[in-house]
Amino acid sequence: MRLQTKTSLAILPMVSLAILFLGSWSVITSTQSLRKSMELVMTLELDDFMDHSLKRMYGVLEKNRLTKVDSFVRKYQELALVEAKTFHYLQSSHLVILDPSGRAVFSSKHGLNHAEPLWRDVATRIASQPDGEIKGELKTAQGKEIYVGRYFKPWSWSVIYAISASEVTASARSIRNATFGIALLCIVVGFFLIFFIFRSFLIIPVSRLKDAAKAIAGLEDVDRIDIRSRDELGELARSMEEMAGAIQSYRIRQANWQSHLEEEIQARTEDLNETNAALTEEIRVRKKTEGELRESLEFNQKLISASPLAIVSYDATGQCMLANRSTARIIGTSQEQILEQNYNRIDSWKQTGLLAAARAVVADGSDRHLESHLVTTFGREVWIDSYLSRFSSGGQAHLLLMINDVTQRKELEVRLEKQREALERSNRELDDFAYVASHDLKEPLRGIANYSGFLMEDYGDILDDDGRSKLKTLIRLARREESLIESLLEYSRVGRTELAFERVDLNAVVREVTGAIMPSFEGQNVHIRVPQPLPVIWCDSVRINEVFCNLFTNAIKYNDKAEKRIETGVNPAVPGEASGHYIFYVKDNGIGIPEKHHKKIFTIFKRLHGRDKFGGGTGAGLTIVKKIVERHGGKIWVASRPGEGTTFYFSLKQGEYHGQVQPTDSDC
Amino acid sequence: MVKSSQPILIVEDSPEDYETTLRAFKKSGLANPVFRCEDGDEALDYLFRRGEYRDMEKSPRPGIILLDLNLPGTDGREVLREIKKDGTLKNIPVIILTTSTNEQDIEGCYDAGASSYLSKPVDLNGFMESIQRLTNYWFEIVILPRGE
Repeated sequence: MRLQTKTSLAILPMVSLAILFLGSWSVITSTQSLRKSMELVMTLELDDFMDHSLKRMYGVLEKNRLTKVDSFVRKYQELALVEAKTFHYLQSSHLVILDPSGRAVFSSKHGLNHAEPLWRDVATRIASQPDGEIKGELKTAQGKEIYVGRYFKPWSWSVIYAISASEVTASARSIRNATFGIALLCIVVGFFLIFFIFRSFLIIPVSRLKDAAKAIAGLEDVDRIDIRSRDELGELARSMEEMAGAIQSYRIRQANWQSHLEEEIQARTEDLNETNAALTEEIRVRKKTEGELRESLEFNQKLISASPLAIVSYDATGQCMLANRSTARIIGTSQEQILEQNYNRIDSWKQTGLLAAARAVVADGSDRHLESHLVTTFGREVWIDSYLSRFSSGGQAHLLLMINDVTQRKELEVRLEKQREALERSNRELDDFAYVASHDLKEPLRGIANYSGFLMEDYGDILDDDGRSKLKTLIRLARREESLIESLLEYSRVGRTELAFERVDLNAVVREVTGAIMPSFEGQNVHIRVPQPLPVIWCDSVRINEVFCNLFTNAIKYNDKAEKRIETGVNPAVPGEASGHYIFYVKDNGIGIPEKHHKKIFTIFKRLHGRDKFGGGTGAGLTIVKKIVERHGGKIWVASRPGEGTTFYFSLKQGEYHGQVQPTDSDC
Repeated sequence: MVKSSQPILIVEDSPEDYETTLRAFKKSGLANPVFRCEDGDEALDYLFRRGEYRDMEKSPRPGIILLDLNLPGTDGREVLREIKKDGTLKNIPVIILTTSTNEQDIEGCYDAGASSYLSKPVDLNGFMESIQRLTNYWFEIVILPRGE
């Protein structure tokens, strides 16, 4: 059955409703017409009563002229009322008569007292009607009353004929009830029919379709929709099943694709994360680099601006590009004026060779250093150290010039050089003077000594002991003077003569010295020890011989021990000279030297003891030793403990000596 | 005045110079006892009573000191400084008697508190005269501190 057909079944209850409506309408219509016909009957009945009872009684009175005679009137009225009792009443109808004062004079059904309040208003309305007629309805406690009223003027009576409305419409009501029954039945049956049809053919399938649609929408599996009907809903269900199938397969495809997509996304995300991390790192590094770069730039700018060096740069045309504060200070002008300069046009550059150097640097790119005395364009006179370099900027060769103002140093150098020259001259003169003076001094001395000797020889016998003693003193003093002068000569000779450098085996030197001095100290129990071989060095053998000779002699002379032990060697385990030197030592077990005299002992003619103590001497030996060592580029120093012994250390250069040895001047 | 009992300390390394000084004293009629030290260290030992001079008898406090500058070992300049540093010795007049006429030496000695500075004249008469005048001034005119 088609859905259309099923739907048409729903018309049935509509038809029922129509019957209901029509039934009702006919009932209402028939009730009204019934009532109208009843009113007509009642009017006829009432008029009949009026004519035959009241008007007839009054007619009799009128005829007999008794209308004004109350007793007759009352009598006839009673007669009329008796007739009223015989009035032909329709079923359940009744008659009521009220006098002008509203008092009920007659009631066919109820008591007068009951009728009076019920009908009084109606009676009043009747009296006020021009034609004295009225009809209508009155609601009473028992129900509706349909009434017809007439006014009897001669006696001013209101006569009302009423009937219960329900009586009148009783038959119509039974028809209506029957109609209502049928209609109700039709409605109930129709409702159930509609409910069934809608439920089984529409609501259930639609609900299933909805569920199915929901399931499809919720992406659940829908294999089959339970609608077997062959109508549109059935077709819709089939279509939805197909659709669900299609969706399902699409979903499977989509799921596959999605998982593939997810993998893809995962892979891409990982790639992205890696790229992102790399980017973040790169940003971090870049920021750090930027920061460092900024700091470096700031540092560089600070370096340039704060540098005590003048820093200037010139472009390829020679135009100044940059000049720091120091440049202005050194050149003696403002930075702005320097920036206007082109070095090709600076006179002082041409004169000092700075221009040539600058051009050469720009041409070949190798750095140059130049010291020059410059009178700047701005009148300042300076000594400068210039460092020229080439650098590239914008693909062109620029010149970087750094200038150090060395005026002060230069002036100091010049002054020092002058002083050095003066000192050297003075030393040389002093040495010459000492040499010459010594020679000249020796001559009269020789005379004194000789003549003292003559005096002793020729007149020794004449003089007494005191005289002879004084003469001996004279001779002794003359000899002492001679030895002092000899020492001075020796000292000046060490300073004046060139050293004869050669390869010298120090072992041989020590052997020679020992051999030379030992005879002088025979019987003094002297032991000279050389624990390890001495090196061969580059020196003046005669002078070094003198050094060892002096030191050995001192070691023996200033020694009060029974066994005088002397040791010499090289590189002892003591802190000493810098590398490149041998350190030699001469150690004794002698009387030692108090520390406060350690410096004095190298002063010429300075003795620590009385003139004749410890074998005497002039006090020049160590001074000469010091001068010899220093002329060899070495140093001499002493370590000693009084009573235990003294060790002299001196350093001499290793290898060949090439340097220019200046005569030293420390002791003059 | 230096009482005849107040000793004179002479610090002099040269025996000839010492002998000459004694001669001059003799000529001036000076009878004070004379003590001699040959070098600076000995002079300090004497004054501070150390070593062999521990004995008060051997080292009486001098009323005046004649001091040579160029001495072996510790020289006269140091001896002077040590004397003037010491609370009990510093009021002893110190007369410098030396061959040095070096300006630095002269100023340095007066700065250090020397009472007089005499250079030894080369000729004997000059030397004698200097010593006599010196003794005349210091031992007859000037009133010296009482000492210990």
